[in-house]
This record gives sequence, structure tokens and C-alpha cells, in this order.
Amino acid sequence: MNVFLQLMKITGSSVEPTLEEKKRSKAFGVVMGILIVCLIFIPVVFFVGFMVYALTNGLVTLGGEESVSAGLALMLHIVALFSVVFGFSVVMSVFYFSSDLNYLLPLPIHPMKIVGAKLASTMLSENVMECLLVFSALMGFMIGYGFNPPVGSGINAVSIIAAIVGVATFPVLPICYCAIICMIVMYFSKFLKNKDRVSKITAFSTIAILIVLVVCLNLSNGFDTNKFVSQLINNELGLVNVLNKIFINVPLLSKAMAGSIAALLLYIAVNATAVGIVLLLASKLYLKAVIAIGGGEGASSSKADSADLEKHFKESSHLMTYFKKELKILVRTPAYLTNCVGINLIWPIFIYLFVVLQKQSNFLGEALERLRYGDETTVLYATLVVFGVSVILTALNCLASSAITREGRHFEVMKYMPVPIMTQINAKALVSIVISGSGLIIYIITACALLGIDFRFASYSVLLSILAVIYSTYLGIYIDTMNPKLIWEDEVNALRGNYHVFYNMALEIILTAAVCGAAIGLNRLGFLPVFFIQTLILALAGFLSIEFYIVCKKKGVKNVQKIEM
Amino acid sequence: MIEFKAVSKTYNGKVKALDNMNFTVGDGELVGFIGPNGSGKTTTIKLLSGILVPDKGTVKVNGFDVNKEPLKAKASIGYIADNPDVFLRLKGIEFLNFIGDVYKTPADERKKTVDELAERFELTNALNSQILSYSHGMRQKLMVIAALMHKPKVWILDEPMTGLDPKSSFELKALMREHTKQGNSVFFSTHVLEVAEKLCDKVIIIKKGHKLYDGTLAELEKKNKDKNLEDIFLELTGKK
Repeated sequence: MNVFLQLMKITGSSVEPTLEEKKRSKAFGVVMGILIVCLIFIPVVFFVGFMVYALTNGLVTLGGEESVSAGLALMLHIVALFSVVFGFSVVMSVFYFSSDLNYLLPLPIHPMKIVGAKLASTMLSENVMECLLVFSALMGFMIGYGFNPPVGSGINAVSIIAAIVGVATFPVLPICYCAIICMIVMYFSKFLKNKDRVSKITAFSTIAILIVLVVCLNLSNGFDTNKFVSQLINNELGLVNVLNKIFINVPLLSKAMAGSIAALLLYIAVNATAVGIVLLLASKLYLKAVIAIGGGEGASSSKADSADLEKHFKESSHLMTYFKKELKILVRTPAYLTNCVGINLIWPIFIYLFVVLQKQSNFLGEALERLRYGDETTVLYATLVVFGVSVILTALNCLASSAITREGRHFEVMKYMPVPIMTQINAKALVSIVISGSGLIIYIITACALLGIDFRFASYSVLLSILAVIYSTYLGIYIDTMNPKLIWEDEVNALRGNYHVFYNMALEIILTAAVCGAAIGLNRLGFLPVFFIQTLILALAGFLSIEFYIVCKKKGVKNVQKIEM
Repeated sequence: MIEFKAVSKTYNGKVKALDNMNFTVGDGELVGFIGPNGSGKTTTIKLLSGILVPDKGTVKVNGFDVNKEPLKAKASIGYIADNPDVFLRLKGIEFLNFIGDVYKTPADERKKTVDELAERFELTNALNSQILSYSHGMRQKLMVIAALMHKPKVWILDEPMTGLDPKSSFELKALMREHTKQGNSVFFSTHVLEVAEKLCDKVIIIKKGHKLYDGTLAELEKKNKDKNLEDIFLELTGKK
């Protein structure tokens, strides 16, 4: 047991902050932690809880006791599905490609113990948000069900125990599925012995699964709430029925929440069996596969062509050479390619979902119509949407908020090169501005062209979006200079262990909310014309861009100079 | 020329890494920096290369104060860190070109140096591959080529022989000698006493942030007759 706990500590250590990082982050971390909880976690938790509450409440009235937990099951399926989709890359990285394996494999430790420790530390480190979501879903269910007597009389001590067990153990089955599939694939496949290849395949599979899911929802005719609830009550939702068979823990936990002790015991048994299968497979498959993994492709041994080498020797300015270096590293590192660059490509999927989900009310169609005719209020709201979306999407891709963190253990190179720190920061900012900005500009221009929005508003939106991207970028970089996470196991951990993307998001949400509040206030109470408010927003975005550039130049540079590894 | 005057450095306000350290490395001198683990060698080298800032004292390289004129000082240094795992996703040739841009080395000069040194270190064939695919020794050789590309007056090397094969180690030592013969300075840390013994004009021995000896090996051996450098080093550092 002692060996197991020690192994867990070793496997989990790469995501823990170092003492130096903890010291640097103390006061700032507390303030930002409170902001993140208030602005991101609590709203998400309330949203999920409320959705389950509303569904349960409706199902109690419409479907009676039989189908009362269908809403809860639906939400838990979504959580489980996302755990599997995003769990693959984490399990693959922790099980097969972490550097601790170089030290662990030569030791006389049974593979079952290594895998057990890695499984436990993966669940502990990866599932804080998941447990929160499960907690809020279960709470939403208990309130929706319990406050509807006599139907809700099923809520009893078993439900409370099931809720506690559910919150603590819900990630077990999804992560075990990932572990089982990874172990089988790695044992039988020679093709997947390269970390980069695995990361790229996992990333593209994730996007493919998301697209398949959206297609499976069959929303081409829009989303009909009444039809959806009726299908839920009558078990006619094909996707949910399939998921019930895959995630068998979900219907069991849902029934246990409705008071069934047999379902609770079965739920525990299913989880224990899943862990047992993982450990059994580990003793048979793990060692052979993990030993066969190679580190890289191997340096080319063919004589490099002199003319080919010569074409590389071109002189560039400091800014351009750092820009090219950053871009190459981002594109060639799978973790950065997917989390920082590729993430900009998935937004059309969500836009499609939004468009079809609102088809029934035709909210978007009416708004577009008003926008085309130049309705003042709609133009104002559209301006605020462009501003908010540009800022939030820039913050979400973490290009800026991981700019210094990505330097990792070779952070010192920033300091010993004869190039001003601000030039290096500007190169990082330029990468973020080019990638985030070009994505947003393409979306805006495409949307305006397809929806027939006039040239003046389209041009204004592009300009506003660029300024919003610039200010969001410099703010993100400044936050990262305050306490970058420089000690990390691999690039995935560099991004996951770095909370700056959340800090950046929290501050962006506050700023965007303030801008929206002020703009609407000025329009409604101050009776200022929308054109004037649009100009003010543009000026504000410009001012913030300059302001955060100056903050980076004055304080960000000092922060970088102060860091000692 | 390196001037290290009354330099002290403390980490986190608690751990004193260097205490009132003084030394100079003159033009044309090849100086070995020796000390047990944790004695302050890497701290000294990081202070020289501008990675760390001293609490007290001044550090000058080629007449430029590293903290007052950092860019000029850094531009005149060829620095090799103790860890060659840098920008692993770049190809070797891309890394060298990046360094050429950083130090503003003209393109034709870059090509000439890279051709010559890559051939000398038998790295030409690997330059078109990503550094990630290199062995530790190959990465170290790449760092050596990168550090020398702009023909710096002062070389500062932290454990430069680590991971090098015998031929590359020989080549690097030869380069260090050639460099000092041209009137330039080389300052390097090492654990290998034989390397210091055969190569250096002067050695500096430190322990726990204090300088124990600064002078030629001949003088040191004269003071400690019938003892080899290993015995002298162990006695000085209190290991014997």
C-alpha cells in the first residue's frame, strides 16, 4: 500500500506547482481563485443543476415516477461522454509517455501497481470539474424530485449515500474505458508507439467524435422541446439508449438516486469490476507495450544537401525570427497544435449547434432581419457580441496565457539571449494575434457574406475584433508573466497545470460584462445614439490594447526578469 | 575579459550561493572552474550570462556591466548551458539560423561557420532533423556550434564535455585552445579534473560559495609537492 501511495505521489507530481511557484502565486492566486469560482465554476454548476432540476420537475409532472430520473441520466451521460473524449489523451500521456516511466520501469514494481497508481492519480487530477458537474446534477435532481410529493417520496437515505458515492466515483468507469482501450491498442499496434502520432490521432478523433455526436443528434430540422421531452419519457432517444448500454453506471446511479439500494450496490460493483479489469489487463498487456515505445523518430542519417541547408540561412529581424520560432514550435508540438491552434477550428461546430437549437424560436433569423434593416438596438447587441466573442475566444485558446509557461525548463534562454524581453513578448503576442485574429476575421467575413450584413458593419466588426484580440492577448501574456508554470512533465501538463487561462477568462468576463452594462446603460438611460456608443467601444478597445501593451512593457518585463529557476 | 567583483547571491533570502566572490579572467586565458556539487559554479555562470542578478557586486564581460548594459554584454558572450534540451521541435539548421538572427551574424558568415563546425563535429547529416530526435551528445554539439557562430570574444561554458564522444570532446578542447591563442577568453566549469589539468592556464576552486584557490596549476602543485590534482582538490574541499 505504501508503494502504491508513493507511486501516486510521483505520478501526480508533474501537475503540482513547485515551492517557488506557490510562493510567487500566493496572494494573486487567492484573488483569482475567488474570481474563477464566482465567474466560471458557480455559473456552470448552477446552469447544470438548474437544467437537471427543470427536466426532473417536468418529467415528474408529465411522465410520473418511471421516467423521473431520465433528465439526470441524460446530463450524466453528457458528462461521461466528455470524460471519455477528453480522457483518452490524458490516459495515453500518463500511462505511456510520462518521463517518470524512465525511473519506474527499471524498478522491481509489478505493472499492476504502476497502472493502479497512474489510474488513481489521473482520476484525482483530471476530475475536479467533473465531480462538480456531477454534484450539481445530483443536487438539481434531488431538489426537483424531492420537492414533488408524493412522487418524490423516493428520496431517502439511499439517495443521499448514492449522491456522495456518485460524486466521488463517477469518473471511474469513463477513465477505466479509456485505460482499457489504450492498453489494448498499445499492445497490438506498432503504429502508435510514437507520442506525437498518438497525440495527433487523439486530437483529430476528438474533433471527429464531436462532429459525429452533432450529426447523431439529428438537429437538421431544429430542436423541438416538446418532442424531445416526449422521447425522453418514452425511452425513444436513440443516442441515450445506446449510451445507457455503454455507460451502465449512469442508469444505475440514476435509479440509486431515486432510492434503489440494489441499483446502488450494482453501481459500486460495476465500478469495482471496471478497475479490476484494468488491473488484470495491466498485468498482461502493460509492460510489453510500454517498453516498446520509442522516444522520437531518430535523426536522419542521410547527408544533408548543402543547397538545401543554404536556403535556411536568411537574415530576419529579432521580432520576425522569434515569431517564426514560436509558430514552428506551436504547429509542431501536438499538445499546442490542438489546444492553442486547432481549438480555433472547432467553433463552427458550436455555432451550428446554436443555429439549429434556436430554429424553433427563430430568434437568430429575426435578429438578422432587424440587423439588415439597421435596427439600432440589434446593431448595439451585435457589436457587443462581436466584442465579447473576440475577447473570450482569444482567452480560451490560451496562446497568450501560456506564452511564458510554454518556455518550460528552457525559460532561461529568454534571459541570456541578447534580445530585449519586450521584443520576445511582442513576438509571442504577434503569434496569438495572427492565429486568433485571422480565425475571427474569417468567421466574421464569412458570416457577414452569408447572412447579407452590410459592408460598414462588417468592416467595423473586423476592426473591433482585431483590437479586442490585441488587448486580450497582452492581458493574457501579462497574467502569465506573473507566475508562469515552468516545471512541467510534458506539454499537455504545461497547459493543464497552468490556471492562467482561467484567470484570463475571469478578467475578460468582468471586463466584457462591464462594457456590455455600460453600453446598454448609455443607450437606454443616456439616450446616446448607437453609432456614438460603437465609436466609444472601439476607442475603449484601442485604449485597452495600448494600456495592456504598456503594462507588459513596464511590469511584464520586470516580472520575467525577476523569475529565478 | 571577465571581471567578477565582490559578488554575493542568495536564493529566496535564505540560501547563500555566493559570498563576496572575486576573480578575473584575462584576455587569452583559459580558466577552469572547479568545485563540488552545490558549490556555486552554475550560479556563477548564470550571473555571468545575465540569467541571474547579483545581490551585491559587479559582473563585467568585455568591459560591459552585465546588469547595466545587458544586451551589449550578452552579445559578446558565447554561452553553453548545462542543459542542451532547447527548442526541441526546431530542426538543427533552423535553430542555428535563429541563433544567427539573434546575434545578427551575416548569412554568409553563418553558413561558413556552420559548414566548418558541423563537419568538425560530424553533425552535418543531422541538421535537417528536429533536435528532438538527437541524442544528448548531438544536442550538446549543436549548442557548441550555436554558441560559437557569432565569434564571441568570451566563451562561458557550463560542463561543456558532458555527453560528448571522445572525438567531439577533443575537437572542443582544441577549439578552446585556438580561441584563447587568438587573445580571447574561455571560462568553463568542469567536474573532470584531468580536463582542467591538461587544458587550463588557470583554475578557480570554490566551495559553498567561497573561493578556495585562484591561480595556475603549476603554482598549486608547487605548494603541494608529491600530490596529484585530485588529492589537492579533495584536501582543499575538505573531502579528505
